[in-house]
Amino acid sequence: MNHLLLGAAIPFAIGVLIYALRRFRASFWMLILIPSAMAVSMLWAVAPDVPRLLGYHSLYDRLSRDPRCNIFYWHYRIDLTETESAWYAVGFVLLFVAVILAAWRELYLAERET
Amino acid sequence: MAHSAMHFVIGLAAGTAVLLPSVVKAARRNDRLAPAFAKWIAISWALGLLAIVPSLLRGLGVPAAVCSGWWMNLFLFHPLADRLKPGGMLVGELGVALLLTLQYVLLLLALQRARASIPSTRTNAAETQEKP
Repeated sequence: MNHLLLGAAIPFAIGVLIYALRRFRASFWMLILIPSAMAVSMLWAVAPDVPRLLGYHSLYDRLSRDPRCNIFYWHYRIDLTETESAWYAVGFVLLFVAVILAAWRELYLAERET
Repeated sequence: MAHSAMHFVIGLAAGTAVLLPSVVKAARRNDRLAPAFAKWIAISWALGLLAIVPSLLRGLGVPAAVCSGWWMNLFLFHPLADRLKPGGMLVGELGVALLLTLQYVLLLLALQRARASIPSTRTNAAETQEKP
């Protein structure tokens, strides 16, 4: 989960900056692009784990021992010291709560204008 | 022991199963969708968090005997899920991603519908004012 959290946090931070610069209003395209960037970035962060999901265990084992996997947001280094914690899930959830809240706020404001 | 993502997806799915129909009903009636979405999202996420309470307690150092006791079934059948589906990290994460995507895509569709109706409402109001 910490790979996913790190992957999502980088575009999220950029999105927060843009949102603040736009005086806390989000265009429709921004609400599509920022979560899409978060999703792509998350996939990038867990790319070395994907072979395990697809059943390619030997490839997964090879990648898990390859330091070059650090290009996937320090995946190899994180795996060396990784400890399981439910708090990663909480952090991950909070990122998406923020994204969904921003979209919900836009829906609320749009419906109030009608 | 099931992964916390697996427990979280159980809570999200339970909230979605109970409250998604009310969102669909509101959309069919052309009601405002923000309140229905707020209820769906808040309750399903709260259920997701409720489902991982024993995992959080375990992380805080509460003894395993307490965290896996039968009374922890109060938290959306946490010990039962632990017995039925050990592991499940990837399945849990995929399930969470799927349900979050569903919530978000429906929210964007509702937003698009609401924004599309703003100019037409203003035009109608202007037409009504012009009539003697």
